[in-house]
Amino acid sequence: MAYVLSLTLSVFLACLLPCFAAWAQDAAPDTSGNPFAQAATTSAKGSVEGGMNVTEVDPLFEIVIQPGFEARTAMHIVEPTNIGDGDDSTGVASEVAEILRRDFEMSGLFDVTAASTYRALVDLKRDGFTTSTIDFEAWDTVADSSVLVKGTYRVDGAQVELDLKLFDVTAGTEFKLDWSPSITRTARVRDVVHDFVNAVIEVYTGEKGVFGTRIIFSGSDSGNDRKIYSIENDGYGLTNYELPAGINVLPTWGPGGSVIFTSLRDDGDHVYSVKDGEMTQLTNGEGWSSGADYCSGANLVALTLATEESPEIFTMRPDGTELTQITFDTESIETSPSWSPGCKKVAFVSNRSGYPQIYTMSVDGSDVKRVTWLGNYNTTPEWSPKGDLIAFTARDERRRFDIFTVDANSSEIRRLTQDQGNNEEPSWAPDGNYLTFQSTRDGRQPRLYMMDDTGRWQFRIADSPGFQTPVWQR
Amino acid sequence: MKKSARFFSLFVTMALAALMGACGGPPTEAMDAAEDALLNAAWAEDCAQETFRSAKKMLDEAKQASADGDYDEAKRKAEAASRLAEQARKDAELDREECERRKSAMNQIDDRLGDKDGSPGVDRTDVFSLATIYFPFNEFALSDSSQTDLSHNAAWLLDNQALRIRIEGHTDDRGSTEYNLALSQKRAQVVKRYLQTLGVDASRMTIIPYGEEKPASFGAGEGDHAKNRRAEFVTF
Repeated sequence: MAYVLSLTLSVFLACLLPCFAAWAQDAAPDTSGNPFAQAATTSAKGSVEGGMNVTEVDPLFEIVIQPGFEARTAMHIVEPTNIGDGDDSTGVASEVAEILRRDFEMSGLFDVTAASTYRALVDLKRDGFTTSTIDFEAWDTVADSSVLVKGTYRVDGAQVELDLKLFDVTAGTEFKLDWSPSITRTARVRDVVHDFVNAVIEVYTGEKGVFGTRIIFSGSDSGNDRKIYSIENDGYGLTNYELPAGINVLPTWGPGGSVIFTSLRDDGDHVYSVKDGEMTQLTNGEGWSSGADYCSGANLVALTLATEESPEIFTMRPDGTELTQITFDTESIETSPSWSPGCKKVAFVSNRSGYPQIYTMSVDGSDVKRVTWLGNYNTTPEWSPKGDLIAFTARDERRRFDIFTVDANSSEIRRLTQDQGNNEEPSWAPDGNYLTFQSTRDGRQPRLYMMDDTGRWQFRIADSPGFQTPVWQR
Repeated sequence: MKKSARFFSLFVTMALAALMGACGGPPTEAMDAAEDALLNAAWAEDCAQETFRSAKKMLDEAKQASADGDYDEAKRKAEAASRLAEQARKDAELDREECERRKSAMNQIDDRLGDKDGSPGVDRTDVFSLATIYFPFNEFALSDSSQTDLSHNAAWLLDNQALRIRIEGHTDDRGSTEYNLALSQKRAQVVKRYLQTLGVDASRMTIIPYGEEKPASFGAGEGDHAKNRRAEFVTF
């Protein structure tokens, strides 16, 4: 069903493409009219010339990041075996194997062996499901230092009993996982397999994986309309929030599974929340609001509200009460608030230096600190749930958009994307080990991707074009 | 075998349909429907100016495409024109009273224009287009030429006190959605404030920031970006 939905959507979007043909033909960046061309020019060594306020150039600005992760563990995934009575025509076995393969590959931690490769070396018919009945020697010939996923299942009406195991091939042992076999409805097999994968990832990283969590974003519709969707981080389960037609943008997760978003209407730009199909307007009256970020620890929403003079940052309760202004620089733009993990600080964008840069401040607006000193267009700060890193989008010296992290304390910069279209709008996974973002590497229209926190491993989440500003559920 | 034969025939049918769509004659039906829709919505022109104009423009483009032999494009545009005209009609119907007010304001101006140059048939859409104000990348300050344009706009607004305006701020599609919304608010705000200093009453002006969501030009070249970095006026 989810697949059909996403297919329908992509076909629909593809049908819109001819309208954008002229757009697509002219994808080469042309920046002749850019007023900052001079200021942004860089020498071969990467130092910024012109009047920029730059302290030093981080050598990492020069590193070319390519996908491909050397340290991945070889993993063999075998379709679980039906141990129930009679034949099974539900397709559970291949579905489970496919979910396992996609999840483990997306994690960036495993190099999954093609089934055709191990079939030639291991007698699957005779191979068992316990350490004493598995032919580890045969498996060891497939790849060095590999691990093996095997399992059994039984279908009973609309229910499936699924047991999966992870083995260390070299040691000939079974891993102890924080996961146990379960009976579930056939329709929920995906969730159970995600849970297994998350438990396996815990063995490698010390933290449960994030499969089965959702990402919310805005998608293009006919004309200028934007809709709000969410999707599972593996690219399945696309859900449309069915909001009134219009320009609905900048969705984020609110309390209790609600979604907070901005709707641009002729009578004003306002922030709304939606839960179970019920919509509530959170900002009223004077001013134009845009973009919000919720912090559960303090039960506060930070948002941008443009007063008569300029866009400033405010906080409020998730029901719109207790609206409090925390930035007051009317000459400049203050926007894009993002909470620190403990809700004590807010990262934001300000162009008070003349160009948009990333700053942090305390929740009451005091203790303002500028954290980015390189480049002249740094936006979309996203504070890592782990602590001090802030991911952001920078327009680099070649006027391409790429994703970086900056250490909130030391201002040390690391580059995560390069040379693959424009990469923007990062958002951290709940574990702080992955990020989702939008990229134009596969076409003029942005698509959704995820990567690990080094940028070495990058994976497309969904093929559909026109998906943007993703925010990972935390 | 049987199944694949069925798929094949389906495929052929689809291919033929696609071919016919591409190589058929002009989309007369769709064009007629669009003409009708525009006629039906004509009364709403003053109330849903922007949408109605888009519909008109879209139909013109459809005609052009049809003349160029690009019938697929013509059909698409004609259908879009129908939809836009229908939207204009709906928007106007939402508030008939307000619509009547605007209409009478427009008529008064027509009368005055008629008196002035003796040509009552002046095309209002030309006379009323307040100059759009353009901005460099990531800026919201007004250039000298923008200030000149705004002084003309202000003079016109002072002559036509019955009209109110909505100032819509826009950016190009580069950069973050959120920052661009803020930037477009600043652009609209700066324009409003300048008009105020030229004597236009603040109560006649509202602003609305649209960020990068409503491009005037869909291309990715600097020419397109430049057209999109703007503050536009809608009168009502």
